[in-house]
Amino acid sequence: MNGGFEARPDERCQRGLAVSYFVARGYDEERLRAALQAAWNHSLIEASETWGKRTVRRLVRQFRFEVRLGVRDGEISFLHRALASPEQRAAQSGVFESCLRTAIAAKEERT
Amino acid sequence: MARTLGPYVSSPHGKRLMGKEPLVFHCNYYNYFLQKTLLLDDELAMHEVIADAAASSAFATLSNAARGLELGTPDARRKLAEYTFSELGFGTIDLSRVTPSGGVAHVPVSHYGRCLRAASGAEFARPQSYFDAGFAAAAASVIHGVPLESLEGRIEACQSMGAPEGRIAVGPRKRRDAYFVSCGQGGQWAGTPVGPNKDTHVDESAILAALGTLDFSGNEEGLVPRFGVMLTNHFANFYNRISFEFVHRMKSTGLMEAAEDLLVEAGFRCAFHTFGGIMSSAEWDAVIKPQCKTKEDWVHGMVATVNALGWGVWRVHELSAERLVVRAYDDYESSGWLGTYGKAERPVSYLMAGGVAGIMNLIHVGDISRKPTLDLGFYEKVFESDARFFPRQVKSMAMGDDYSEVVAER
Repeated sequence: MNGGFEARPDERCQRGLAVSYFVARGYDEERLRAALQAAWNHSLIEASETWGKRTVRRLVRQFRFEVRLGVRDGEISFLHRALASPEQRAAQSGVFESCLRTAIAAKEERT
Repeated sequence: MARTLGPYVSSPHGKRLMGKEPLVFHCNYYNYFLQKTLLLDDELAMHEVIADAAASSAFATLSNAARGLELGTPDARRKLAEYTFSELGFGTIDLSRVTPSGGVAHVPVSHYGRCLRAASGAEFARPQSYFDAGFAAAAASVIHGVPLESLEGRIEACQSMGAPEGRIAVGPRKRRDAYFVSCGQGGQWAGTPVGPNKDTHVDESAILAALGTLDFSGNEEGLVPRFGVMLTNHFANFYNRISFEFVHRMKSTGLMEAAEDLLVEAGFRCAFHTFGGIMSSAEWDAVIKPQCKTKEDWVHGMVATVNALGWGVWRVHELSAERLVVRAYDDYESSGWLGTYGKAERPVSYLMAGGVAGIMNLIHVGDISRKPTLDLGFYEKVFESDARFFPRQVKSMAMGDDYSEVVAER
């Protein structure tokens, strides 16, 4: 764990593109959503999907990345787009992780 | 994202059509292993068959869709072709520089160019985007009203070999053999399949309804990242043509049964990665796993999910820890065979056979519920174990039976 989360890259079919983030003690999902939007000047396209009893929120920056919030309890899926360069992938991962730390801290403050 | 597309049309027995062509979901791993199998022997010239099968299937889809949408201009038909390529998960293609006399199609993102590399774990020594070459030729034919027989696509650059983007040169066809004509839906059984097996906690209709709400269209890059794999919503008749022609060409060398075994092996790989990916995915955990109380329920859940893939209607006829019998109504392989060649002398449901045994191997040999890493070592441990399940095709719709039946036993 580093900063309250663990990042596990997908070693399979989406090798190099998908990373799963695990947050054992939870995070403030609305705070994370807002932080991500603010970090990218409110340009992320948002959508939601119903997976059984679960609602998954998707935030997309076209041709760069997609974030899926709520795929499992305490798990977030981050998918780099194929056209994102290695530099862009590193940068957007860094921004995402910074936003996630903020959302984890917000949750801890509340509890 | 609003795309001009031929509408998706539901057809009986789990089929979904676009431009009158049946679509089936398959992932980058199956696409990789199937193509790897077909390209094993250069003398079979299967790369030409792959490109031609892509051209024929894409031509049928695009020309039917363009007619149905009454697209009167080359520009409108070009957009249809580009959107269709992206919608179905093949990537993104720019056909703006392809004229009636030819030109170069640019492929910034190619499923075959990029996503097979992820499956193989390495770059390739030869190009993999034969599908893109065929699609580009078909698109040029439909866009400009040029006979398909006069065109072919040739790979100039492929991302599978490290090129930054794919390039397909579309020009006059040099080969003299004709493209095959896609059979559309092909053979269809007129009856009504039996309902889902009731001896389970799994509610298939609820699973299909839940999966029906998910977005399986290609994203802005024309890719479909789902279930931990890269999906394509592919042309069933593409798979049929390349598989059956492979068997035909191998038969002429006296190796027909070996060819059939290799296609079943590709089905094992499909099961391992696609079914394994599905059963390890967050989507499975949210939608299907809550209904699964026993290992048998996992089998029923996976079969219910197969029925969302466009492969026909699968029904669990018999199930124990030692044996699975699945009956498939209008399995796409049999439908395609019947529509193209008429009644078969041998069963042709290779993918189905591999898939049925694969489900049992994943659940009863590999215990997929423990979410193992789906790597080569685990594949060998499960599918090459002494306890593995083998499939037998005991009935075949292509041979005149009402359904195809596969028995998987140890």
